[in-house]
Amino acid sequence: MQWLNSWEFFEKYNTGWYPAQKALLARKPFPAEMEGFQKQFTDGARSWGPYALGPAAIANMWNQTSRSFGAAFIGEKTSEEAAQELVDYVDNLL
Amino acid sequence: MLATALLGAGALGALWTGAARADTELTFRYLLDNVDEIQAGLDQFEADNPGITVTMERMSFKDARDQFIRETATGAGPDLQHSAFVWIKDLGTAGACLPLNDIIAAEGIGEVGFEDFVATDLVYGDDRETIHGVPYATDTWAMVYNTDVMAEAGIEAVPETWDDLLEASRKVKEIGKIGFGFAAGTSAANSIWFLANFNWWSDGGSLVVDDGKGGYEVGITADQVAGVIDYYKTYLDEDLTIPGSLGISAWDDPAILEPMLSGEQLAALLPVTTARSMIAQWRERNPGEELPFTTAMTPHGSGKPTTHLGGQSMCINANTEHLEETGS
Repeated sequence: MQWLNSWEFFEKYNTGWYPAQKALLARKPFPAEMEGFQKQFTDGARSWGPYALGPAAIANMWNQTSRSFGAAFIGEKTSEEAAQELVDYVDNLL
Repeated sequence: MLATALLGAGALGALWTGAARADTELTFRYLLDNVDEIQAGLDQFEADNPGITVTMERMSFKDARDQFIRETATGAGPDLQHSAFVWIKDLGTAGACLPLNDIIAAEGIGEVGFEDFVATDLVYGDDRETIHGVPYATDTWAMVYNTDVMAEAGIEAVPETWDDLLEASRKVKEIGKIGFGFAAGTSAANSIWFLANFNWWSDGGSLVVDDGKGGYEVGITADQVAGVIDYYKTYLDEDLTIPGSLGISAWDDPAILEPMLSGEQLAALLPVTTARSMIAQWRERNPGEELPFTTAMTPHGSGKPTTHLGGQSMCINANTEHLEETGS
């Protein structure tokens, strides 16, 4: 596990992925066209946090979100109805 | 299991950096496709640690979590398990992953230490103290813009807000091209989940929040949710996104990437690996030409741009008999 989390491993072998360590992310070169991603990594990204730690399974919320949005997208429900459905669903899971 | 159970706190200091035992066979279960690169790294590890051999097992992400829980319940499973960020709590709660607090305290982890890792809030158990795994690799999403389309539509700067992105898409439609291309379909691995959350988070809402009392609650109103539904619905109703958006769900669907590559679409919101792959593909098709892409943080509402840190973690099998070597 130590080797897989080393700078050398990410620099020489697992080059297509980004290490989950702030110090190594800062060392990893981002080409000019990818600078937006570097900013997003450092200034604009959060973990799933309470989504993953709470009692509601992410997969269930993920599916219900798409179902509620989809129902509104195709006119089966109003946006308000679809939104309330989603909020109630997650509230019940929690 | 026996070896782990016999290890007292006093022995932990030599676990990860001590000399490896001879003739140890480890198994590492890896879930992604870049096996050649990972195998090369494991070969280097074996060369640096004579006497340890590592066998890489493959399994799809879809099956790996449940399989690992089943195996560890019977004392089996690989020594080191590759995992999604969001599985670690469940794996730890199921007793599949070895608690790492004492080991990390004694030996450290990573280049700088445990606190330097991202998304560490996801590796704790229900007690919010026991560490069941270590984040390994991360990814996130950001915007990719086609600068040729921007220029053609008279868009001088990348959109800062969600409203800016909508207006830019309307300008692009005026020149007969696609604005913000996204997948609005509803299959199990849909994209709209990410688009919804990025929009909510950048505007002060969150579907789930910590209630401050040891539990969790909904952190967004139905009105806020409806506003974001309406936002994306506008793209569909005004034909500002890809044709057939409702019929596709994957963020890397060719229906999204091809118009970006061919200069027919303004923008896409993509994971970093997809963006890199798309840009590499453009370079293959257009050798020597100037790249027509720029990337930027996601648009925002009343707050700051926010996407999620996705990624992969590692967990040591609670049954391993080779803790020293697995941790090294």
